[in-house]
Amino acid sequence: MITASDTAGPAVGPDTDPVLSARGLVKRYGNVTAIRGSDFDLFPGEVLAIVGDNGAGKSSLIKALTGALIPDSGTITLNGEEIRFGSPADARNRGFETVYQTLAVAPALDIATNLFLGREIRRRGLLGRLHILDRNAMRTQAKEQLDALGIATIQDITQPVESLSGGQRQAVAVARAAMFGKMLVIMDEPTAALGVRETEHVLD
Amino acid sequence: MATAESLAHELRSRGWNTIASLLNVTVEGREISGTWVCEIDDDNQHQPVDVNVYHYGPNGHVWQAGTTTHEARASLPKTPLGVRRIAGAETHCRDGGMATTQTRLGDSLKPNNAGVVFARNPALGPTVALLIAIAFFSIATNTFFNIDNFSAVVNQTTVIGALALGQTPIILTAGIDLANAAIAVFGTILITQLVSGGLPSPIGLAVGIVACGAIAMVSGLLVTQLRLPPFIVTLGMLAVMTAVTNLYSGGTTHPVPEGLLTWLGTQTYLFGGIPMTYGMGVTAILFAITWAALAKTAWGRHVYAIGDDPESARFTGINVRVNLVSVYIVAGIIYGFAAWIAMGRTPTADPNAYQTGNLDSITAVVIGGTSLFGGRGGVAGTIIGALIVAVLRSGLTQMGIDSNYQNLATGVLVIAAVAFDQLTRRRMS
Repeated sequence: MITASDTAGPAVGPDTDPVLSARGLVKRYGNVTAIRGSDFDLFPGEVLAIVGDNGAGKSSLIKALTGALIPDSGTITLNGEEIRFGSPADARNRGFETVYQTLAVAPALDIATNLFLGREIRRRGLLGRLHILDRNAMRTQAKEQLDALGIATIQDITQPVESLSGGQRQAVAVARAAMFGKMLVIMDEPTAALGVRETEHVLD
Repeated sequence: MATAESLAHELRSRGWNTIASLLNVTVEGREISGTWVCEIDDDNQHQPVDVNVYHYGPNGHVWQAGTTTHEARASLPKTPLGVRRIAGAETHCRDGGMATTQTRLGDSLKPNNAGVVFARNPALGPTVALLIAIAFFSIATNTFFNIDNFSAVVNQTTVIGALALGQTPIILTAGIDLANAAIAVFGTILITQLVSGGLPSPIGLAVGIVACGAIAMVSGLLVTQLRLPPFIVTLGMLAVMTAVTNLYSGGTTHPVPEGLLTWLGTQTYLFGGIPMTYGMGVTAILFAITWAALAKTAWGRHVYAIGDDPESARFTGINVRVNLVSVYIVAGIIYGFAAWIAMGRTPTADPNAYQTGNLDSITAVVIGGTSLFGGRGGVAGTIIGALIVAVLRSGLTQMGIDSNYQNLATGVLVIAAVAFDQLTRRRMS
């Protein structure tokens, strides 16, 4: 595996402490070693790209950072504190957002529901105590987010994700990550299905 | 703003030889100006033709909304298929010779295709089927169209309807529960025995309902913790519960003590004339609560997401195992209520009752438009599905048709419902 660090922005470099660092990450699937002792540091504002051949272990490394996969050994530290993700929900609670290669969207559910899947907004008051969802708030925010990103001019936020094109689905996944990713946004092949213009937006 | 002529020019420059028709497309009853359908390969009226759909962008750009093929020219003016395809198509914008790609999905391209409407509202098809069946039997017999008969039909669906109601969220997670009726029958025996043995009936009833929830929870734990297929787990639970029920009851029926346990069989007249039982009311309340839980809460959305794609659901931070186990617990509690409703219908706890209840409930769910592959459908369809089966049985009986033909009709309907589901899935993806 090859890792290439692309430092962007002025206040970036070895002078500051890394936000996220990994030491000696190992993951084996039976006889196959997907990750063999991976180390890296991620500094504030830095964009770190992971490059490698097919089967090099890029997705495994990413899953180890997002809690979707638990490494066999090695440590991940966030702002100097060692963290262990037992599930993707743990990573999300830390402000880690991921755009998965498989997009991780529920095709039969609508766009707004997908954006808020796992952290739905409840209504205020009694209905909220009864766990009733505030669908309008979610739809409004979802629309604002998609408009703000300018990724796709999706106007009907209530249509099921399966009725979207591949690029639009990816746009939904990217919008979700951008919306909630406070600490770190991890993207696994984020532009694989996007058109030229959307790719530029994502890279911005 | 580009005009039809400039569009024609553009097309000719790209090598299209004919522009047979330029027309506006109507979407949801509104005419969308600036959306043009251009047809080529005009030689044969009955051959499928390739159609390119163009949409004018706000700056006079020509948006090409994808190529599609139509069965026949005659279908062009409405272009339902075309409109549907546009909704998901990548569009290409030609801007001063520089070709850029833009994903565009305007509200003008909202699908109005009947297939999409049916796919988005899985209960719609079954509702139409139910209305047709009611109309048919009302014409074919003198006895069917009658409020007493309707009430009897609804009353007949209460137990299977409640079992199907519990089954629905499980099937929405792409699971299945073959043990539901066996659990409910065990519930009737347990409650009857407890109350006959001297326990106050509210406590006996509560214990029975909780026990049903606990038994279904065991299925859920086996599915999530040991990762066994729900079909096998519940097939095993079916055999186990049938055996336990027979051992516990001594293989004989037990009279249900009168009072709270038989209270749901109480007849009343709604608005002075519509006969109904309390059991029908309780079934309706259960349906309403389950509907709200599935449609209006995060829990319900997660049930759908898990049925759609469990891996994606996990990636979005949903605790798939906890949600799945909770689905089985909810189902089990509903089976417990089904037991209560059953005791109201027949005041005898029979270990051999409802032996086909599991399959009948699956039939109701599937006919109601819920997909066996998970993620699609809901309890509204399940009510309709249960009613369709009951209406068919009642209507065919009143027409004097042998019960074997009733089973045949139900079987055909199940296969038709699953085939329809497969078809809509393929069209949507």
